[in-house]
Amino acid sequence: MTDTGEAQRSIGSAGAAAQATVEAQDKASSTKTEKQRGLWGDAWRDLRRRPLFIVASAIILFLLVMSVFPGLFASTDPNVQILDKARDDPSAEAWFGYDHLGRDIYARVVYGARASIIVGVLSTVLVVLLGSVVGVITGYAGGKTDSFLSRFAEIFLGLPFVLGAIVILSVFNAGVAGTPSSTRIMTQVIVTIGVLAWPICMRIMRSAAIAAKQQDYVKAAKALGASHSRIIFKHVLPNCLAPVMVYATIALGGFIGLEATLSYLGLGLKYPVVSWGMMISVSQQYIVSTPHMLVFPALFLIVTVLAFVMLGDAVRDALDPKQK
Amino acid sequence: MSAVDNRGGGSPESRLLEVEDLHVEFRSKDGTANVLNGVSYHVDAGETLAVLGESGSGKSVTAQTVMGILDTPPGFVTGGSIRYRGEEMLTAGEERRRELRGENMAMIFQDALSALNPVFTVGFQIAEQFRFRRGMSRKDAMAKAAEMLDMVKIPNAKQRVKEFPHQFSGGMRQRVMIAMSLALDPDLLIADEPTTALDVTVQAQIMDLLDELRRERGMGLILITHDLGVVAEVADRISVMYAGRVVEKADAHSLYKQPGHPYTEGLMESIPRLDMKGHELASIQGLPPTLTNIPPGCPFHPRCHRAEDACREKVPEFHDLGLGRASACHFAEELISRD
Repeated sequence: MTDTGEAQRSIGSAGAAAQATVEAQDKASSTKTEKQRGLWGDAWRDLRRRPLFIVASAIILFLLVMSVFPGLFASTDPNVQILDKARDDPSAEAWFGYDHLGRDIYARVVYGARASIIVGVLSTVLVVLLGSVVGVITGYAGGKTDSFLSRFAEIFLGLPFVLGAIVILSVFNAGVAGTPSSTRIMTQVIVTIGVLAWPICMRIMRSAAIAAKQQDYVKAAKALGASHSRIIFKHVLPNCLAPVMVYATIALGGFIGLEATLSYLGLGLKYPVVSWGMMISVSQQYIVSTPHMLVFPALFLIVTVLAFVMLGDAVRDALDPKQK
Repeated sequence: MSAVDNRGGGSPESRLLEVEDLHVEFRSKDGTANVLNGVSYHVDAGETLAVLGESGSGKSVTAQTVMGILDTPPGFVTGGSIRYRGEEMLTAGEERRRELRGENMAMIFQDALSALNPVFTVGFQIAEQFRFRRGMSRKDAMAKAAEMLDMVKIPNAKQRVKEFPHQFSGGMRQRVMIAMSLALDPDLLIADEPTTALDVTVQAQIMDLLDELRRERGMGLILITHDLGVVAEVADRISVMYAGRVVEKADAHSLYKQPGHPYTEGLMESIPRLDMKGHELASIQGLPPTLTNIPPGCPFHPRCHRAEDACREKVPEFHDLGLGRASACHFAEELISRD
């Protein structure tokens, strides 16, 4: 161990000690009967006090309600075309204006939330689950298991995303006549993103697990007779969450964008499903003449991504006891 | 070699832990490092064995091999025997060894901050053992954890169980570590440089605490250290290690009075002394050998001031010096019969 490491640690602990006494005092007064919580319990108690978390969850909650009950927010049908109003500017009647086919952009943005959020959230969940499980296994086990699974992941990593998606989606839909159902398309898009993007998360998890595995506390846990599963769940995983959380929040926004790319290529979501991605990709031909076609869906996309990034940040901080 | 030691009272069968002729090598792409080349020591219930030596002499590797937590690869046990209460550890299954860890043998580490999981409260980490090994409820386990903190004399234990490792000072953290390892009441505790990361005043407190707990619980304590000052106060017997071998063993008193190996002598001379103020501090010349390339003959000969031709050619046997003393030096008898 180096001297600088020692010095930093002692500075850190001095600050923490001061904080600790303050905390100890308010804990002593307020929480005498409080029962012991685990990692998540502590994080939750901490989160409730963070403005960042409250704002982010309020936005996400709002978006979720909007995607489940779009009828509450918009009374017009998002697919009704009033051609003589095509590309009309925002007005009191249509707050966000009309698109090139005379559809109410406000209604489309509201109805588009469902597809975008479902694709974004579910593909992130899929990628993080798949990537974390494989990543922890490879990082913790090392050796041959690691080499095998890492090479396997590199096959997917080597595929260019769009090319891979074209192959997967066209194979899936090869024999299907007519327009497949929207659930089916959404599932396909989510699975495609999951299959092609998990190696990135796996790599992040793997390197975090390798770092955590070499910590003394893992050795100490072993010396106290902990089993592999307990070491993984109690010592390795909780200490690997931060980087994966950061990745997940960034990826979520990216995946909503990916859905747009696939839709634009005619492989992703199709009419009658409405999604922000589709709206943004269509609007590019009209950017100069009808900027509101781009601005409103893009604004919603940005706010959504921002809300998830903020949520991810808050959760990550709450899980790190040193930030308290 | 094994018949030499009859101190500590126990017969070989009743010994708490006996390590015999242990060989460990680290294999890497650049070759094989012979980290342990026949380490033997034993410890009985209720006694303190100090293992002394420079960094890289194999003290910690021996301890980790005894605990069964050596990372493989790179470490491989290539020979020898480790017996816990007569039961061979090296051939015992992983399941059995895990059962013994924590419950019968435990280990504390040099840097308690990195040996405690940063994301859980200390109470949670201590309580975990009661919950998983003793099947206690969360609440009972936390109460026991607070008791453990109280036992290692952490003030205000009931409040402090809810705090995280980084909120403790260095000495308090080491106490937490001790409490954690003693939770299941093991009868063998290996302390791997428990005071090295602490400042001097705290060192003494931790050593006193360990000594007191050893006496109360009648457990065997293996104290790994390079701090001779620490050893003098608490050790019953001392094994000095060099380049993966035990080069001298003796009871603490006679070792300090008259070292039986030039290496031990060198270590003793390098202790700063108040009456030698102003003089240059004595040190052992040179560096310990690279373990991939241990010199032939006595591994210490390149640094030894009394090295002769014999030392360069022949690996010295363990010389029995009586009263449980032994030294791996060609001139051992000469050394202890001086003055």
